[in-house]
Amino acid sequence: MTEWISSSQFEENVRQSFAVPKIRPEFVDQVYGDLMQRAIAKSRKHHPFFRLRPAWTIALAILTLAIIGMLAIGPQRVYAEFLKLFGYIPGVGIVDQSNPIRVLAEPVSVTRDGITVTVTSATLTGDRTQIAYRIFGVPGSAYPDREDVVGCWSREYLRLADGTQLAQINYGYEPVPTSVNEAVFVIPCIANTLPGKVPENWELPLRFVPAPQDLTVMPVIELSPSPQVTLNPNATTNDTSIPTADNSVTVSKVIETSDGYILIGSFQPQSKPGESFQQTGAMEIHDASGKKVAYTYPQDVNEAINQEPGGTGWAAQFKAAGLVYPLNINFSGVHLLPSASDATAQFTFDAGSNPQPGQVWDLNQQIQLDGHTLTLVSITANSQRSYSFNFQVDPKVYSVGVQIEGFTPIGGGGGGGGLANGKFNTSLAYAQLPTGELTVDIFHMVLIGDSITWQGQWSPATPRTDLPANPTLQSGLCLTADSLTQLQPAPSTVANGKALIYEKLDTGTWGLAVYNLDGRQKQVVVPNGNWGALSSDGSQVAYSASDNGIHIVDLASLTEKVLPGAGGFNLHWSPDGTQIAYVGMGDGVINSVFVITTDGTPARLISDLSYESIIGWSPDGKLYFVAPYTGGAAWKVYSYDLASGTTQERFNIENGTPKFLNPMLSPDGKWIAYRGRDNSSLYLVHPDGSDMHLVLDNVGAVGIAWTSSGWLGVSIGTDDPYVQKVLLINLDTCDSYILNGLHGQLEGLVIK
Amino acid sequence: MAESSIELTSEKIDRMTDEIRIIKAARQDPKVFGELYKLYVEQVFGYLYSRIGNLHEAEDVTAQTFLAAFESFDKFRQEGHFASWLFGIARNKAMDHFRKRKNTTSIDEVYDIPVENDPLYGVIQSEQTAALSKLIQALPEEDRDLLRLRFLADMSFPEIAYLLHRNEEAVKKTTYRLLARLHSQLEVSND
Repeated sequence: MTEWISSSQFEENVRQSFAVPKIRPEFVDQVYGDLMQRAIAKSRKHHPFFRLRPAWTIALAILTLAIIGMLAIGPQRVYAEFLKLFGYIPGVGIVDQSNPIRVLAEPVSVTRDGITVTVTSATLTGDRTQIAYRIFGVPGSAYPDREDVVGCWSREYLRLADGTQLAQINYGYEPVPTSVNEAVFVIPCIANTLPGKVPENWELPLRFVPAPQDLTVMPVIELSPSPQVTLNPNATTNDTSIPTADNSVTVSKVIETSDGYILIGSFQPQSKPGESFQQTGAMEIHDASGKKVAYTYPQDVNEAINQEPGGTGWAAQFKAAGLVYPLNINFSGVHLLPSASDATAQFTFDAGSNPQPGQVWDLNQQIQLDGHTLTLVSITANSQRSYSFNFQVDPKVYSVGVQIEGFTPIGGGGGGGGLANGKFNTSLAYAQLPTGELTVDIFHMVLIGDSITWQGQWSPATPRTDLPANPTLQSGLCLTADSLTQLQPAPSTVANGKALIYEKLDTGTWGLAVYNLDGRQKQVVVPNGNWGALSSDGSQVAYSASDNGIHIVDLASLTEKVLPGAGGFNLHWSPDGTQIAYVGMGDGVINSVFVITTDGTPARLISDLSYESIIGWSPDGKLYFVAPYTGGAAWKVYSYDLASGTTQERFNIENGTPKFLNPMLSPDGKWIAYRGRDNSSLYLVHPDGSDMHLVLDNVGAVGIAWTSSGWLGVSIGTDDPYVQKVLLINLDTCDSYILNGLHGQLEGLVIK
Repeated sequence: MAESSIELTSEKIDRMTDEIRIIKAARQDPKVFGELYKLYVEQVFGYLYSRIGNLHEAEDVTAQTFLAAFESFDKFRQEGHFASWLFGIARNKAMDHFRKRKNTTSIDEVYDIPVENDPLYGVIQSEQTAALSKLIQALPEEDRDLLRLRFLADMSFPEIAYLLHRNEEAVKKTTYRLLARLHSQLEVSND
């Protein structure tokens, strides 16, 4: 697990996940009017001669003029003119162009006590200041080593020469006035570090200059009114009835990129009284020929997405070469239907006089409700004065209401039974937790109804003539999302070996299994563990056990040994099988690189940087690893020479994902494979940083493993979160195959 | 896109400074309470919608909250803690609302079954937020309420601590632990 520090983006995601609709302006105005009427009545009683201060007079005058302007010109026109000011800068987002755009004159770095803070870029627009910065070299000892300890969280800001502070706003910092070309970027403390452990009050002087002429700013095209969209509101997925016009899926903004488009729109299912739905899958886009369009989620347009009505915005970025229009944009879901009867069920359970947080009552209580079977598996007392009711229900049941007779809760929630393998959980919170013999009512069952698909359509106003119908792949690129469908099964001459797969086992737990590459001879090696590593000869599996210890299983005898004193994950066998490198914790280090010999000699610390990942062992006796920058989604690659004990800084990976880079060195030491920034693509680079290139484009790459015979194995995600597909790629020829018998995350690969 | 004739730009102003100024002015002139309303109406509505799950009922309770706050504003003496005071009223109004409804014990039903035609019924806009939403729904109510207060009500940690009668540091730590847990669960489900 990598370090995690709460980001404003993640906090925004939390906010969005509540799916609160945008407040209706009519409602806002109505309550405001009501309040003003009351206020006027109150004023008459107490302040008959109230007089506005000048500032309020000006504010009200501006407000009045705005209202008059809206009435005279019309809100649509005002809005359309407004949007013309916006443009899209890749990596920055949609920006106001009413003022000339400025950028950082040059990157600025400050180093103190071995820690370097660098502001790498800045973009100044009329509506905000975007600052990109990163930090390297914070020792693990600076961070809390306990979960219940939180370090510093002061917000950074910009300080102008006159002392004005520009605070963080939703997507950047407040705008720097056009007349100001210098500011100081202030970081009061490095996020989540403990007091006194590292230098505080970082100040980086920034200088801004006009953006270069070649700065890419793409126009944002507003679509108003929305293109015609369609809905088949009561149809199953196989229904071919004529769709009804509807506005459930709309496209509101289009950005033309160099190789395709970014679409931004909203999804608001139109409903009849009493209707309710649950979305069941991610958005899908198909072109008019039926081809599925692979898209990515452009993080840099989040602000525009969040401005969509009802907080229901979506966005998709895709390549447009060869697409046939119109595109169909589909969301799928199911109807949720209240049970026809008012059936209720009741049972009692004894919570005792003093239920403890975490206490579990295993009930397995079978409940029949209106012809459906519900099993109340257990009840759990939570630490916050609430009970959780854990159900296993039949696939048609979505949720039920629960109440404890005689007690009024202050909140609760849960649901999603039949859509989550029949399991769901609902909780009830109380000001004081009910105790003793309790009577529980089960009622108001909600059932899962027909499937439903909401569909929108979009075509470009003007067909692109700059994109080839059948583009040639760029040099080094072997597979794209489109070409995945054309993969052939691996021939037996290739699929001759073993794979270590991390998957959900038949027992329901996640564990490690070894398969032949045709999917046969499954051998569950670890029923409950992860981070497996297959030795290069395929005879042993090392894994991180549930107690964090490192265990080694001999596949022939199934005997297991524990490496004494070693605890960690991200395991990598040395080429000769005598050592294992892993990421673990120790005195003053958090997730740093260790090496231990398999005969159990004490582990030694290789690097004291934090939150590192191991890349692998090279044939010339070096161990490669990466350490992340804090912020900036970049990684620094190092090599450690085991003979001399020296560490060498190599190069930076700037286009990797900050989440799970999963870097893997090929056994011949020539290539490092890693996951791209989009969490989906795969890149290759030589260990000296040269020839960095894309090899798998937006295929959903997750697991990566090399073989000594030169094959690259990659497991890719599918629509089913429990299933991955495993591919084999020959990088010299780009010959690629699918291993149809394997369905989990690839953790190791041996081909004979 | 329709916009209210009332400007809803609370995010871009220094709320505390402005708030204290407005509170003082509102004590002199009740009409200035309208400015406090403008500052907080979105947050109060968001908070209440997330608890109630139905647009019209959330609007109703939002209106009740502000009318109650307006009527009792003369008694408000906790300078610097207006948000805590206002969301205290909102929480009480939400509880009143649940008490008045029949079978109000589980928010399942109000999350999933809008009582009336509700065109803005909450739908998740992306795979990630859908996954996050599920994780949040599975949280204990008090944890979920903490997230609502922080991210929908947009309250500062001191404001939340004041409202919940808890230590500010404890609130902060609980919140970030909660976020870290959600993030970690999300990574597992994504990867």
